[in-house]
Amino acid sequence: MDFWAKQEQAQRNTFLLMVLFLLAVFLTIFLMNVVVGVFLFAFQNASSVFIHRFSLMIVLSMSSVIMLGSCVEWFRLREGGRALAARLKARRIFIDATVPEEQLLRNVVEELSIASGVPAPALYVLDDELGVNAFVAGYMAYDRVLVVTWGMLQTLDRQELQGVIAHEYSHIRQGDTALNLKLMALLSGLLSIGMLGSWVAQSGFSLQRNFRQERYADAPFIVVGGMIWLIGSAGVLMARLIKFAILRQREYFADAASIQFTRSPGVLQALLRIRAHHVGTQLHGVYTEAISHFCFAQALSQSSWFSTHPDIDDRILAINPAALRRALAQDRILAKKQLSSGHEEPEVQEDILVPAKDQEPIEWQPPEPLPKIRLNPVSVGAKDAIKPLNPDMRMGMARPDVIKRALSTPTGCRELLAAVLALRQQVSCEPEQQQISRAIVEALARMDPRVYFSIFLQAVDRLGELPASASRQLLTRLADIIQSDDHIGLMDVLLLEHVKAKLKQLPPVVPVAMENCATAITQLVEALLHVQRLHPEQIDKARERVLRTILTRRQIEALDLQLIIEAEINLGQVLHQLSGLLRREKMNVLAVAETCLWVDTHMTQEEQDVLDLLYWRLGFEAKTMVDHKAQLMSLEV
Amino acid sequence: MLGWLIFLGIPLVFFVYVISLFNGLVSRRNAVKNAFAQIDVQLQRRHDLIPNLVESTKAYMAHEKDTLERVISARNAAVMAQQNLRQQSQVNPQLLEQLVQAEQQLNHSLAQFTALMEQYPDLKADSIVRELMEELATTENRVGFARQAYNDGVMLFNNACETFPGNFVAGAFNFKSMKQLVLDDPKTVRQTVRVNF
Repeated sequence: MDFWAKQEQAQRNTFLLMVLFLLAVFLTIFLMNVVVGVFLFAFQNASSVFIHRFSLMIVLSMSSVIMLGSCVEWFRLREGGRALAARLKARRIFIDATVPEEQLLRNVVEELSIASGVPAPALYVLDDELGVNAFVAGYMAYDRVLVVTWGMLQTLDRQELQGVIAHEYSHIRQGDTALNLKLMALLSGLLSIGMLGSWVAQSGFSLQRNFRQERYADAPFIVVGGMIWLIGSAGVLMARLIKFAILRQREYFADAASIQFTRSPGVLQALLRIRAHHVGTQLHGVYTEAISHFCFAQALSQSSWFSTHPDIDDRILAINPAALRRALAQDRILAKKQLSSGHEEPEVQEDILVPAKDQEPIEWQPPEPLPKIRLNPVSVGAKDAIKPLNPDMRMGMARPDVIKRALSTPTGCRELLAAVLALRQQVSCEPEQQQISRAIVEALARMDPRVYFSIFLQAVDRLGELPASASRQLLTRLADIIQSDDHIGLMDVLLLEHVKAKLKQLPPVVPVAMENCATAITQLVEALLHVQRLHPEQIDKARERVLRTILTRRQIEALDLQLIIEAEINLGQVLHQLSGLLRREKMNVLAVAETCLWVDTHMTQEEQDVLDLLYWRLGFEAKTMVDHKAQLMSLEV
Repeated sequence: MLGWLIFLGIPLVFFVYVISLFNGLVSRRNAVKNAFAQIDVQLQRRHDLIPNLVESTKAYMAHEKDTLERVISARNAAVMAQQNLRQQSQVNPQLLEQLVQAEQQLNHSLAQFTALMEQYPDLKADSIVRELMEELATTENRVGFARQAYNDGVMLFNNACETFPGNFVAGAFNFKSMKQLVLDDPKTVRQTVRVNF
């Protein structure tokens, strides 16, 4: 793509902009004139609707209001982006920012400045906006600003942020930023009529408040102001039309350029995330109408007629049609699962994935066939009910030579993984039958079971690289071992996930909305309550209490609890789904998990490890938090 | 009259065309040089960052002296290679190759280092180390993007050099096509140093 040729096009667009603006001014004034004319025609028998005694006055006053509005705005914006950012009350992010998200933003901006060959603009953040949006503005390199919303910093990860920022850089390369500012100045002239109207009406109100004695003093003001405001909305409509005409197409181009700069589909990921999370891209400040055409995505409410930006779905379609189809299919599958939680996964998928007649089949990758997991209440093992060990002690506890030697080679590590999982099962462990090294099992059996966890993690760390086929073989073997006693606990699944992550076999995170996760959360809560090993009636009570903290009443009623509890659960899939939530939603889920584990008022080693791994699986660094807790309550031996 | 005009005009047009081709080649070559200087700046940044990182992790990783020393020596070798390359006015392909090798070595030792860091939770919780790791990650990306820009520039230059009729001009004025910077497996190198806290 030739970016420099696009600059020329931007020049031509400026001309088009002027023509459209004059046309819009003419139309607005004409409309006002005709409305007044109709009134005169009806009540005073004027000769013509178009030319009457107020015509000259209307034309003069309105054109002067519009011109004045435009000139004032032009004057105010002559300083370019910084003046605009200051007007929006955006907060500047300086070069020495210490908040991690802001640091990340700054770094990403500087990285892409290298990739795109555009000098880095000054950074601002809109602290009160929760929607995901960003824009650039400015005439020259030195006054250019990049403004992002707080919601964007919170929502997007590094790759997605790169995509969005690269999109903005491509606007700079195309020369859109200056054009946008000019557009903003001109449009504010059109918008100023509406503002004038509401100002007149409001001053009528305040008049009445000040002089109580005249009861209807405000009426003429409100009528006149309302009329002007009404005509002004024609100006707003014109403004939107202009934006629509000039800017819509550019977004596709900027998306494509973004991918060229980053050489990664960051912008696609960002769009998918915005689409899935319903966080939206809407801005709520008073300035929205004026700046909506600058933004990364639609900043006005979705329902508005002439949107300045193409639909998110259209943009995804333009980048990668398959991604959109996958996203739509996922939506439908999740919705269907929500409705009928008892259905088997393959059934639901088949229903939806059967392509229509003249459509390509959807490339939906079914989640990996993990073992189905049935949760049964198991008897309390005396060994597991002991209090947790101090983490340092657990790491440092002496290990037999056999295990040390096994830990030093990747093969030995694989054997260790199998042995630890086999020992964790509720059936007796028969090394010969399960093809596990007897020496290792015996050495492990002599140790404190609480140390298994840290041995397991060490073994996973030292697994090294495996080719994909070998990884799958190992995972299948481990999964078989886990299933040998017909029920699989959350702990085993989490350990298996840990191995998967190390072998890079975890499916990529798919963004998902909180509303679609009710079933998954219920299943997780169920699994967590079983880690507790409570009596069935205690579980019922605890489940209800915990669920009420995270789900709305409607969601709970919609769930078919009995079905969820008795059905076989694919816990790996549940965890995968939950890891696609937003960071703060994941925090909520983890808070719920913690509540679950505290139901019986004490925390065993296993519960602590489960929590630790759960934090890890949902993408948080757990060590510090859990270690802190462990230090507080651990048993000093 | 018209005949004379054509007789003089054709060589003149030809001459102007050759000049524009030549100028195009020169400006492309300068763009490549500029892009290379960018890589240089980013590598420098990385080299400056590493001693800080090692210094601040030393206290925690007393037992891992080997790895720390390996990182430092790899970094010093890379600095040497960079300085050697800088002393030449033209980009010397052999020295460039050496620099690429040294950087790869540095990447490997850094990857080992970060893998090792995973085992020290205290270290990862340290805010200074965390900041340095973020800096390292972004510098890594910057090197990547600078290399991307350099390779794009080289591609444009080579296209101008090798396509007809630019190839005659390039041959006459001794413009040689340049080599792109390729790491053996850029994907693994970039992934390993990407740090997630």
